[in-house]
Amino acid sequence: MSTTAVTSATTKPTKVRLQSHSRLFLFPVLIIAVIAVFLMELGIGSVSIPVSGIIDVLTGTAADATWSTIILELRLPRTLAAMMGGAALGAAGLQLQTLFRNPLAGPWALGLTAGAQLGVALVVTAAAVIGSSFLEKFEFLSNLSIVAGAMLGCLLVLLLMVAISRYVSTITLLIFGLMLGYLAQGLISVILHFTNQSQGKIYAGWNDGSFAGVYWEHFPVLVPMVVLGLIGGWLMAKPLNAFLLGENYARSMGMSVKRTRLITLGCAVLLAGPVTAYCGPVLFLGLIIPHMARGIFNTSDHKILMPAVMLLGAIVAQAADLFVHLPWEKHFLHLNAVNALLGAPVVMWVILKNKKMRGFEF
Amino acid sequence: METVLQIKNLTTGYTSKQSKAIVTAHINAELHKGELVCLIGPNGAGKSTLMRTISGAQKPLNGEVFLNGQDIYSIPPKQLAKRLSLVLTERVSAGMLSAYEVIALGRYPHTNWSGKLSQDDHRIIQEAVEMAGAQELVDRSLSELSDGERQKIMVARAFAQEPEVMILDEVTAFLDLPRRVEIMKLLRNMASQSGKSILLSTHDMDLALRGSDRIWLIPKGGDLHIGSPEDLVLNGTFEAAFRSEGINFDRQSGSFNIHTEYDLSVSIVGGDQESIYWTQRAMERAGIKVEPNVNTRVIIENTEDHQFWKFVDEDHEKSFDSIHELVLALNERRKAVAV
Repeated sequence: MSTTAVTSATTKPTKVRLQSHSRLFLFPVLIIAVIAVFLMELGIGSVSIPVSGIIDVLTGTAADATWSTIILELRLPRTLAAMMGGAALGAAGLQLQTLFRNPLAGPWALGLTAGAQLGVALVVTAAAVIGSSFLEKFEFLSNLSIVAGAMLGCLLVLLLMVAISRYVSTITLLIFGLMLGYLAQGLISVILHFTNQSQGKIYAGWNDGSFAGVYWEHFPVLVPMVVLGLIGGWLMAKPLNAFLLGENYARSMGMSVKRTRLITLGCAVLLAGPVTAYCGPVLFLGLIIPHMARGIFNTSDHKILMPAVMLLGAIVAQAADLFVHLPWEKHFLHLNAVNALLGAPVVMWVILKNKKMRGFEF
Repeated sequence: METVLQIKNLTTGYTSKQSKAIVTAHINAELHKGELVCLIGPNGAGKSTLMRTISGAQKPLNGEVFLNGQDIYSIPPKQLAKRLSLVLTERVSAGMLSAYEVIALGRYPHTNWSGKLSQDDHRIIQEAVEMAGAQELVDRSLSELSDGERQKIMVARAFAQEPEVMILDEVTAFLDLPRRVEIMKLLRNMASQSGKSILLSTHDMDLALRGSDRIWLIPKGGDLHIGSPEDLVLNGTFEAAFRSEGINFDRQSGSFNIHTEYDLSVSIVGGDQESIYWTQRAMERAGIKVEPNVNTRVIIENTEDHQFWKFVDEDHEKSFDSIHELVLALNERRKAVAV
């Protein structure tokens, strides 16, 4: 008996297995879904445009000038903003969740969004107090100072959270992030007292969070930053995988913890800052999209999750935006209301599912 | 004998702005190729600090550590990771990574920026899997595995890193005895079959005595003692190291005595070797010294179908069916004598 066991063990050829993720076929599915939602976004609205019409407009052969205007001036920038915003927030969320080793981390939950809001409010107020004449309605959004304000706010909050995360537990950090959000809101309303009514209204409109506020002139700033952040995120997939084992193990395998942290946080600011600056605070997406990606691909491997969150983020953000802009009789839906309906249950599910989150595991 | 890791006059500790806190001073030791060494010593003797310093994670206050002749603190982290791997006490949670993916992370320092695994990498991972006997575990998510299985995977990962030296810090601390034995066996195989040099710090004296080629014994505030387990026992180093801690190490049994003062002596008569050994253990546990040729005797007798213990002294003689009953009766008797 034992001899046969030994021989069979020694003669057995070393099995070399290639990494096989049985769910990789989902990538083409996701890409098709991105395109499908993209076409729906362009076609559906108070004026309905068929796919052939969309293609005509996009290829510049459309006969109907109204359709061209609707698509090129209104729907296309909004849709592209949703696509980029979703991808950016999803990627930022994934990076932050791994870096903080916290399943509920995300640009919004960690207070980055609030930091950006505060930054924008400060810039708006400063401009109002100084009384610069270029601040026509919505014109201020194209101003780089808004982006700078948002990114600076993001960065400061992020640095604060990194410092605090060394001393507090997972849940405490999130509560801290949420409180930071309220603090920012309080500060913002105090600050806005010093601005005039029209500025306040502009801020309030921005503060609702919508991809519809993004115009073509914003893209030269938005696109390079987001693309840079996404590429950075992809390049960091390997160190982020090592980070899953914890800082000590990652370091023991030759990873530079400091550098990884710096680059990843930099990417998160590049992704969340400009998106918040142009679209306003978009809640929940950054938090839930990584969970959807993990669920769908059944893995924690960042080489798969990174592209997955980008595609899923693009799909979910476009779909949420589409839902808001369906030809309702009355327009009362806000993007963040849709996000909350989608996101809050996911957060509850994560808390209930995760032993560590429930506090049972030491 | 080929020296892989050489520690020269190493002083470990911590520096702050105001002062230096020395934990261990002037340590000299060598780790040879294919050797399993256990670092043991009481809590607070500085095992962890020494392990961290030897592994390059912490700078020493003084002295040097050489890895095959190269100063370990001058090797860049990624190069060092190719030559020295670590396993830690901490319980890892790796999200949804499978055990295979965790072991594959051992290839981290060897792969390019994208972390893509070559055919060769997969072969090395597979070797580590087989070495650890983890074939059944690889497809499962790490989060589903027990603590013992997780540590086994972490050891396999450290092996897949293809280091010259593996350093393991209290990796069996949270495991039960069978799992501890299993990890120890696994490490012995890794050392003897693949020529890895392994340094393991542990609290488990018994496993260290049985499993290691040599022991580095570090008493509180004392010098590092090095030798084979048996040498350290026979020359009294063990006894001396733990006596200061108020623990009695018994050379004969190679284990620790709980009782140090005896108020009764007995001789054990009859029985086979096993029965004698375990009866003696019971006596020691009860605080009774076992000596040859004492009038008070415990006689082990066998009938056809069972064994019994007879207690005999000047005025008593009584039989017991189990060691438990014997010990109870002896305790009663000692109380009576004391009164």
